[in-house]
Amino acid sequence: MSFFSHSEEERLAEYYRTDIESFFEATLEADKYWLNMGPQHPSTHGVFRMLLQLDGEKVADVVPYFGYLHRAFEKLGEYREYQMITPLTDRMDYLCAATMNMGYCLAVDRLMGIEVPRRGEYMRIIAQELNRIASHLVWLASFALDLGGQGVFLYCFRERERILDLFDRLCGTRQALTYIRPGGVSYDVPPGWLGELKDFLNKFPGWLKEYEELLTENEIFVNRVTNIGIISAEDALNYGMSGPNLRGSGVKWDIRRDDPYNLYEEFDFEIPAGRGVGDVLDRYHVRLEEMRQSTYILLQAIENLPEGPIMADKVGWHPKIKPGESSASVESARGEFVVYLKADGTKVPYRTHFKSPCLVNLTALRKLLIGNLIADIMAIFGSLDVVLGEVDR
Amino acid sequence: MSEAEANSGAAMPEHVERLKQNFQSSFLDFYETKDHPCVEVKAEGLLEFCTYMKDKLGFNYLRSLTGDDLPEENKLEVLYFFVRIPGAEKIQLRVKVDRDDPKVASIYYLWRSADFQEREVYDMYGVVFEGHPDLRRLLMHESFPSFPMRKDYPIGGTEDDMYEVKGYWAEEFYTPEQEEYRESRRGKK
Repeated sequence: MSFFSHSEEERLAEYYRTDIESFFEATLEADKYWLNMGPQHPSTHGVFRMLLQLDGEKVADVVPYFGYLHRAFEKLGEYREYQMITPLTDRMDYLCAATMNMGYCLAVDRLMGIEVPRRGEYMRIIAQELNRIASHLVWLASFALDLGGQGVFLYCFRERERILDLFDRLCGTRQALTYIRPGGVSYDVPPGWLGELKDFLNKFPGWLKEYEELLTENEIFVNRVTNIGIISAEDALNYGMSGPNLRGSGVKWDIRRDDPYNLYEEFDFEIPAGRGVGDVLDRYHVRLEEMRQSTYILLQAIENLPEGPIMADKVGWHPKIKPGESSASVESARGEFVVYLKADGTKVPYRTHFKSPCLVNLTALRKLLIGNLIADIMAIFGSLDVVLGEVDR
Repeated sequence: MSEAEANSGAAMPEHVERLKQNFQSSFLDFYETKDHPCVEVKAEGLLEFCTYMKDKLGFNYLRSLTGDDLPEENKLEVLYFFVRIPGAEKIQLRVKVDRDDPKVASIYYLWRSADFQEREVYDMYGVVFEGHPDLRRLLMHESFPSFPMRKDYPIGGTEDDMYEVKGYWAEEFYTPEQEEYRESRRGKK
């Protein structure tokens, strides 16, 4: 390598040499053994691999491996115009694309100094909250499936299908929305759409009750998830957990309320935080309650939806942005999504960075798993709600 | 940078003022970006700076950590975004390191969330975080020869990387006939 002197190169080679074999030798103990899990394990919701060191049935150590879904969106972002990056953000977290769009567009808005019209902001909030419900439903479905509750899976996907149909009518796509754009949103509501949404929202609390009857009131389920995967509030902050995982530990931190973007400060909603233990059951309760709160936000948004334009005027298809930098953090369904943008006066950004909440949530995986039983791994891993497309970007 | 000049007269938030008083030598520059107040810190003083921020100012949450390449200055930079929970006070740190010998202290033992993010910056830019207990590549495979997010790395990959791919598992696609066919397709486009 040209950029390193010889000694530096040697030092780097030392880092490379910490491969699996030497790692084994260093940590090999007589009564412990290593087991590979993934990357094609169905319960990892993607391609995630971990090496487990097991002591009998207990987990003694975990080494996670990433990068099987690495598509270099940050590098691609440095070669694309500002409007062409929004579709890339869909593909990061494909279950909650609207909040990913929002994070990027918020950074562009701040960089360009765009004042988004009120109706545009409200439509952004509607898209985000609707997508948050859909995302949590997928989480609930797959989490229950991991623990053997196959009925819940079908119920959740039934409701999610309705949300995807609503998105289909709103912007023509079901998952990769690209609905939120720099300066506003791409389409106004089609006729009759708000009525359908309201109809869905009125029925949704009843469906939520169905899930709770199947899971929360199910003794087997509750015993299975209580007091495993515990992390304290202080540790959760130190390990950088965010979103429902952080709130499950009792920290009431929600960017929608504490560092508001869009017009979230105009909305009235509560921030759920479990019972303060920080185990899997707490994280489950937080997500269920969040779906309910999203319903309230959506009802308020429909009630007060202002008239007017949905898109700011001065954003073109090929915007040139003056030199400067901006960052934006939004509350995605999985945690705090941070975008850093640096413009250099041309049509393409100088640097785009997407901080993935899932990747940082997984930092705590080692702490969560060590000491637990091998049978609980999927319950704990599932409770973190990881989307590997976002981890690897 | 032009923005720094434009904002050099901006009023400092209180916590930045305190940092400036305590770290005269390592506090290099201050300016406001669009979201965070930004402080440029000397690489040697980073660890003390961060320890003070965590213990005395209460910045308990590392929001994001990333790198950037500045080939004109022959520098790499590492960016840190912090926030205080609760309270939502923000600060952004910026550390510039030499591009030929990029070394900066790891903040792993202050904020564990730096673990994978420092590994990613090392993976993409080659910044060596001294003191990190397990500094390996994160997203690229471990024998990858280059640092792909540097500006001089082409988006399609370099010849060296391509040869590696050829050698391992795509040999049949790199026959002379295939190569010729591909070249002809390229010419047409």
